Amino acid sequence: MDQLLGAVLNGLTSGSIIFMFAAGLTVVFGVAGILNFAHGGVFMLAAYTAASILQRSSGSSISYLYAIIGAVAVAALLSVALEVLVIRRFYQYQHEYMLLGTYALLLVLEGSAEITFGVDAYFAPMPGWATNGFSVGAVFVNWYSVLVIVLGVAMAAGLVLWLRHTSSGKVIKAAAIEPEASRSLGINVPLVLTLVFALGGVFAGLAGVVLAPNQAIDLSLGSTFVVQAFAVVVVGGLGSISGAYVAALVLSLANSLWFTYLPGVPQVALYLVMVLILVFRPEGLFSVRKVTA
Amino acid sequence: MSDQAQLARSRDRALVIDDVDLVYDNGFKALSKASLEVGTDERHALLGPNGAGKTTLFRSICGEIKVTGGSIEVLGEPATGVLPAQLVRRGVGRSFQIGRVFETFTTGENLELAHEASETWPGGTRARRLRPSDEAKSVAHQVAVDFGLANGYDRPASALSHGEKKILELAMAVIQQPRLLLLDEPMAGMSREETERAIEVLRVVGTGRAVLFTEHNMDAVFALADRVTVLARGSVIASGTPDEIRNDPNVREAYLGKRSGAGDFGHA
Amino acid sequence: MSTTKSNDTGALRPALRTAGALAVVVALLLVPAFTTQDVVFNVGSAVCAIVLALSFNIIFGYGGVVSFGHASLFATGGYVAGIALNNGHGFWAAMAAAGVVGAVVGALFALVALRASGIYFAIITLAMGQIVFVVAEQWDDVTGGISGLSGVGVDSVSLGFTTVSLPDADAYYRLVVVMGVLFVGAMWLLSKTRFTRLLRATRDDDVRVAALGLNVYRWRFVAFVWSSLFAALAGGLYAPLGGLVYPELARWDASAEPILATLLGGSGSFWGPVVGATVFALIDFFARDLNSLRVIITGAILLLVLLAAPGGLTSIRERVRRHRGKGQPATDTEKDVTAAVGGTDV
Repeated sequence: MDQLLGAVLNGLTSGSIIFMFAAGLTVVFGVAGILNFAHGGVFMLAAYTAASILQRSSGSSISYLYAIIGAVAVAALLSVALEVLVIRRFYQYQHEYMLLGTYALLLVLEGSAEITFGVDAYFAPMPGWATNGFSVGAVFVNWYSVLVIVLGVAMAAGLVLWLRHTSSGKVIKAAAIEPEASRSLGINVPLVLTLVFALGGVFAGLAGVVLAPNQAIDLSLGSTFVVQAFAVVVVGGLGSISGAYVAALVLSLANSLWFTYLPGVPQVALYLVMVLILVFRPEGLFSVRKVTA
Repeated sequence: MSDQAQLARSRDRALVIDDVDLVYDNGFKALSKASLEVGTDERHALLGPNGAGKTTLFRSICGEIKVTGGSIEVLGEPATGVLPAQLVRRGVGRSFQIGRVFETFTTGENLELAHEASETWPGGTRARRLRPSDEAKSVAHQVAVDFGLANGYDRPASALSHGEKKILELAMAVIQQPRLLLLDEPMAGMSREETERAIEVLRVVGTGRAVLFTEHNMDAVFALADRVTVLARGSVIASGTPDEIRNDPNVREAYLGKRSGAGDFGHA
Repeated sequence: MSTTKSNDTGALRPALRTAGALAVVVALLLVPAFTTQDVVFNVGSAVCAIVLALSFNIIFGYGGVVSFGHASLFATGGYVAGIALNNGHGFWAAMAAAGVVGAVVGALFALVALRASGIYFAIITLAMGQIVFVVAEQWDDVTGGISGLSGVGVDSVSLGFTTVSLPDADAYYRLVVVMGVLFVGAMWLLSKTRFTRLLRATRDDDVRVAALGLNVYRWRFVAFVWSSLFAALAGGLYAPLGGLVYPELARWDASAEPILATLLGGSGSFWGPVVGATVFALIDFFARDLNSLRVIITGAILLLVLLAAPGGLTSIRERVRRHRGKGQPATDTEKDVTAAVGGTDV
C-alpha cells in the first residue's frame, strides 16, 4: 500500500512537471499547428539559467525570485525570437517538415547551451522549506511535490478557463480555427502567433525553474523532455490542454508503477502505453476534431 | 417481393439504394429514406441543389461514409462496411469533383498506373511483374488516343488544364473496365468546348455499363441521362425520365424556386 | 524518373555515369591505402549511414510517411549480428539473422504504426524506436546494457569455393564497401520497379490510390518491411566495423540522422539520401574536434536547406530545369489536414 502510494506520488510529481513543459507545446500546436522541437531547447536554456543563478547565490530566498524572472524572461524572449526569425517561415510546410525544421533549431540551441554553460552538469539547491513535509503512513510527502502538483493543476485549470471564458482566449482560438476569418475581423494573426510562442516560452521557463532544484541540469535535458512531452501532447490529443494534462499524469503514473512493480524489466511503460493508446485511439484521448483525409 | 423477384431485380441492377438514412452525431439528417436504382446499362443523373446530399450519397456508395439506416447494394452485393478499394475491385470506377490525378506523374504514367493497379487485383494477371508491362503501355496509349489525351502524353499531369485532368481521371477509371461508373460532377469547371467533348466521351464510355453522375449543367444532363433522380434536403423528391423531371411540379418548386423554364436551371 | 527526361545526350551519359560510379567504388576501396585507421572507420560508417538513409527513403520518399524510429531498426540489425558473431557464427549467418530479425521487428512497427498516418505515424514509430532503445539499454544479459556489446568482429568470410580471411580492420572495411555497394544496387533496382511507382502514387494521393482499387495499407506495409530489412542489414554491416554496438544507436536522435540526410540531399531523387549522408559524414569528420559547434553547424545547414531549397540539394538542379522541384510547401489536401488537426481544444 505504501509502495503504491509512493509510486503514485512520484508519478503525479513528474507528470506535473512534464505537463508544465507540454502545456506550452500544446498551445503552440493548437494555434500555430506546429510541433515544436525547439521548445525542448528553450526549456533547457531556462533550466540552465535558473540553475546557474541559484548555484551562484547558493540558494538565498531572493535568488529564487531572480531565478524565476531570469528563466521566464530568457525562455519567453528566445521563443519569440525563434518564431519571428525562423519558425514563421515553416507554417506553409507539411507537418513532417516543420518537425524537422524545429529539430534543426533544437540542435542549434543544444550547441549554444554547451558553449554557454559548458559540459558539466549544474545543481541547484532546493529551498529548505521544500524538503520538509508530512507523512502519509510510511510515505513522506515533501512540500516540493505538493507545490509541483498544485502548480500543475493550477496551470491546466487556468489555461482551460482562460481559453474558454476570456475574450483574449477566444481571440486565440479564433485565430487557430479560422485564420482567414479572423484576419477579416481585424485580428492580427501573425501577432497572435508570436504572442502564443511567448506564452509557450513562459511555460517552458516556469517548468525549467520548477525542475532545476530537483535534478541535475545537463545537455541531455532538452531532448529527453521534448520526447516525453511529445508523447503527452499526441496521446492527449493534439491541441487539447486537458488531454495533455490527463496524458501527462497517465503516462507518468504508468512509468512509476512499472518502475516500482517490475524493477528488473526494461522501463518501456511510457512508450508502451503511448503506443497502445494511439493504436486504439489514433487521434489521442481528447481529440474532438477529426482528421478527415 | 418474393426472393426470386428480388434476385432477378438485383441481377439487372448495378446499384440499388434502399431507404438510406444518414444521421450525424449532432442530429443533422443528411439523407432520409433515399432510394434509387441504376440498371446495368443505364446512365442515371442525380440532381439537386447544393446541400441536397448528392455528394454525401456518393461517398456513402463508395464506402467513405457509413450510413445509419437502409441498405446499399453495388453490383449484386452489399456495399456497407466494404472498403473503397474493395468496391473498386468489384467493378466500381469513380471520379472526384476536382479532377484528382497524380500530378507528378505523366499522363501516360497515370494511365499505366491505373491499368497496372487492375492487374494487381486478386485474379488479375501478371501481379508479380517487376517492370511496367508492354501491355500496360500499349493499352494506356490507346486509351489516351481514344480520350484525346495523346498530346502531352509524356508531360507531367500537373501541366494539364482542369478539364483535361477530369478527362484523364475518367480515362483512368475506364481503363479498369468498371461495370459501374460513379462520376461526381464530371463537367464542373470545364470550358464550353471541353464540356462538349466530355459529353461525347461519356456517351461512348457510358454505353454497356451503368453510370451514376451528378451534374449542374442541365444541357449535359439531358443529353446523357436515361433517367434522373432529384434529391432535396436528403430525400428523393422525384425520379423518372428527363422529360418527366423537366415537367415535375415538385422539382420546379424545390429546385427552381419561383423561376421556370426548362433549360435555365443549371448554374444558380 | 522516366521518359520526361529523355533529352539526354545520346548514350553517352549512362556510360559516363557507370564510369563515375565505378570510380567512386574503386576510390572507396583504396581509402585504407592512403589514410589512417580513423578515416577508414569514418568512411566505413558513412557507407552504412548511406545504406540506412536510402532504406529510410523507401518509406519516406516513395511511401510518403516519416518513420521516426529507423535507427532502432539499424541498431536491431547491429545487435543481432553482434550477438551472432560473438557466439561464433559466421558473417553470412550474422547478416541473414540481422536482416530477418530487422524485417520482423519492422513488420511489427508497420502493423501498429500504419494504423495512423502523418504526424501520428511519426510519433508512433518514435515511441516504438524508444522501446527498442530502452530494451537495448536495460536488458543487460543479452545486450550488454549501457556499455553495449564489444569485441564484435569478423575473421573471415566464406565465398563457397574459398574462404577469404580478414586479418585487420582495413580488410573488413573493404567488405563493408562491397556489401554496401550491393545493398545500394539492390535498392536502386527496387526503385525502378512497378512496386515503387505504385508507392509513389500513394505518397502523392492515397485516397486516389484507393480509388484505383489498391490497398494503400498493404503497399505501405510491404514498403516498410523492405525498408526495415535494409536498415537492419546496414546495422549488421556496421557492428564489426568498430567492434561495438551500444544503445544510443537506437535512440530517437539517431533516428533523426537518416531523416536529416534524406532531407538535405532531397527525397525526390534516388541519389538524394546518398548525397545528404555523405555531406553529414563530412561535417561530422571535419568538425569532430569542435563538439558543440558541430551540432550548431549541422542544425544551421539543415535550416538553410529547409528554407532555401525545401526539396533538398539534389532538387536544386531539378528546380532550375523545371522551375518546380519536389519542394514541400503543403498541398491543398495537406492544408485541409492541418486545418482539421489544428485548433486549440480545451
